[in-house]
Amino acid sequence: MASADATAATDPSADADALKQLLLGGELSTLDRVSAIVASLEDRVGDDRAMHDAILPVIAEVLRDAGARDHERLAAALSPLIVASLRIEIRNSRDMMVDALYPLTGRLVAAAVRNAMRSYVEALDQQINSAFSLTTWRARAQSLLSGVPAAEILLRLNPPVSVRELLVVHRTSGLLVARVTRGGDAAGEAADGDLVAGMLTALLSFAEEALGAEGGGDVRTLQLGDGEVMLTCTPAVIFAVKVGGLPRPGTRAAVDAMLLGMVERWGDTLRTFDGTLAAGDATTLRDDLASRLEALAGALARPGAAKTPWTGIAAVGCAAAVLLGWWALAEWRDHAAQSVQRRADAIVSSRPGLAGYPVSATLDRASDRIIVRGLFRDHGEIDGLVGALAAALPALAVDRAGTAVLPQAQREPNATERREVRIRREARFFDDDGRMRDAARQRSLLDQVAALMMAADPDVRLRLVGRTESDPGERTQAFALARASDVAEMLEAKGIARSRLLPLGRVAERPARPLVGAAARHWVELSLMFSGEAGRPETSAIREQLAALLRTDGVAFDREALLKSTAEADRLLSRIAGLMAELPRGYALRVIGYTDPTGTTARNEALSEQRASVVAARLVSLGIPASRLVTEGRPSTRPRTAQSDELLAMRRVEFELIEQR
Amino acid sequence: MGQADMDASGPVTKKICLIGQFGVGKTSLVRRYVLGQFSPKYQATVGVNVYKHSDRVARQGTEVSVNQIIWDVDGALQNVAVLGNYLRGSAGAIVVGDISVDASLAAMETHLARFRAQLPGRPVVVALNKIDLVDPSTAEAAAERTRAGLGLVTVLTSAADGTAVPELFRTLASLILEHGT
Repeated sequence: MASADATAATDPSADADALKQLLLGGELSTLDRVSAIVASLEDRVGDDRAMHDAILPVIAEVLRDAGARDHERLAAALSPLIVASLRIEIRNSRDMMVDALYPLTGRLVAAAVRNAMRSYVEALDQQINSAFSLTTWRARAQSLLSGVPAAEILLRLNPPVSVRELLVVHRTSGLLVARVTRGGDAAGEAADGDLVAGMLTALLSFAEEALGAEGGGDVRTLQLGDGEVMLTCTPAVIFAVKVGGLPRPGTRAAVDAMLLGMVERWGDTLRTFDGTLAAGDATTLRDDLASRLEALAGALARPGAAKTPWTGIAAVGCAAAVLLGWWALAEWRDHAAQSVQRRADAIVSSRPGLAGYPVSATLDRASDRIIVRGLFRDHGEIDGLVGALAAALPALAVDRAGTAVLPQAQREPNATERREVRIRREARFFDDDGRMRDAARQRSLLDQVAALMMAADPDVRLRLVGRTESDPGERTQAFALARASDVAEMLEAKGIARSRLLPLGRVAERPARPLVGAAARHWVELSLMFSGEAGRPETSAIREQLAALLRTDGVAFDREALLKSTAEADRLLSRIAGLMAELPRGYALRVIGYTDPTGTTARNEALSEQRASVVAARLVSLGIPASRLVTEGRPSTRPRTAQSDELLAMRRVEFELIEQR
Repeated sequence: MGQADMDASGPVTKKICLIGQFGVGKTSLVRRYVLGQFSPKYQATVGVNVYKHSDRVARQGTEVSVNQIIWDVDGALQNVAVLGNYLRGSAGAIVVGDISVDASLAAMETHLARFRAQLPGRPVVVALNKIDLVDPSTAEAAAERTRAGLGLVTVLTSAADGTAVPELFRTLASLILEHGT
């Protein structure tokens, strides 16, 4: 105890250490070890750089192991990140991706278009064949005779397509992946599937390389006697479907659809095929193929599975029949019409009383009538001809609206009460553009008129009155005159002297008789004039025209002596002045001013005279001597529209033509 | 109705190619192996012939059934693109040379290079054929040279008398199974 005390007294810290060692020795060493570990950890992962260096060698291994051990968790953890990155990358590298995908999409599109075109051509081909082939027509004939449907006969001649075998071949190696045969294909079963697969691959390779199918096209069909092998190639697999019978349009599409379904389900298995299938896969694949093949066989064997083009043929046939019928009907009607016309012509020429007279009997096919036109010696001749036509052609009505009888004057010189005769009431029709309607027929009538004029005495004249049913107005009157002049020119071209033709324009006072429907708005009336109606035919024509113009038009006034429309007034006045200048000096114009009844009489008298003077002054300025003008005021005593309440309409100037003979 | 050429256990099926100059006996080797036949008449292969032979092959101490789809390729198709199509997907190849014709041995290198360019790393076995036409010592010397030159398993065969023909094919099959192609 004493020695211990002595020791403690000599070195107390050493004692304390010894005591510490004694009491905490184990913990202390552990602490040292832990410190060392912590220091080492600090070195390895203490900062970002160290952490990075430490993980780098193992991270790949860790991920691989994690993927192997729990693939789904790793995928779930990483996939959002990867997907997001991919999206961004795709968005940013769109051009690059388009470039990269372009050849592939181009080939796909080209192949799809090519296939579609091929199917279309096959379908067309089939339609044409079945529409025009002798077999089809023979079958139809047999069907007519026997009552058995033609389709059934054709079916007997051409058995339905039958699916016999399906081979699935790995395209790269030529190894057989699976093979399914349907009952009855002894030849197919005898051949070794592996060898067939290999040779098929070799054959396709050879065709591809040596025969150089352009545009990456593959061999699609091998024709084998009464059947064929339909080949469909994907980059990984060759499908060979052996079918019996003659495939129809639609067969190929059905086969392709079946294969597409297969690729969708088995694509991964087929692509990664290395010569062996997992036992489970082999069985499932085989069963799946078998059921798909059965379904395909069933679909193809069903009538109508491969569409036959009967509907198309029927439609074409119907159309052809309708066309044929229409053509035949038109021909028959033409023939009938010609025959009727010949008979009518014969009747006309057989009547001695009509010799030398311009008479025609024409069949109007639109109305199924015989229209009799022309100039007759007397009514008896008309009746006779109409009766003869009606007797000979009882099915047709006879229309005598276009007939006229030579005036009494011509036959009986003493009878002078009728001085003109209308050849036809409404002879020629024009459309709004001034073109002649039904020109051929009109020209033939003009020929007759011309012949009549040539045969008649030189003093017989033809009056041509152009009429239009439009509202009264200068333009429409000019239009009517232009139409009459058109006809006159045509007659002149046929050799009739201009001096014998008197064209006039008039506005119809009431709607035209609807001879040719509602469109008959403009026409020309032809009248023969047998005596010198006026000394100068030109004068009478101008007088007629001016009279017509004066009857329908006047100059409207606003309040007082102001013209309602200077332009409109001037248009009318210059036309009047033009016609007046053409007339002999014996003709004068009375200019009559009107007022409405309001106001005092004295005031209105002055105003009416003032209005007449305004107009007269304008006419003088247009070149009419004042000596040929007489002004007069008629305040409200004779308003233009006596029954009208419209006072405005009464404020006007009207004209009267005075013949000072 | 349905019938498939696979049994439920799913046998291993492999494509192999025979390549080499024309007339070295590729077709004879295949026919000897597959059909047990030999014809001394020469008939050139046009394009390719495909044969099938099932054999049992040793693999890690057990025997495995292997369906070999053997493509006997036209020897004249040396530089034609279609040869590439025929080799496509092959799990391995046998390069055949005629031991009695030096030129055919030299040509083996070309054929080998062609195959390796397309399918690098796939097992290849060399067959020095027609050993019945030369004396054994010559044959052995040639085999040694080939082994050393090409660095490949080399088998001395005779399609005419059947020497080592099945062994040739089985050797390749074993290498393929080992290689896992």
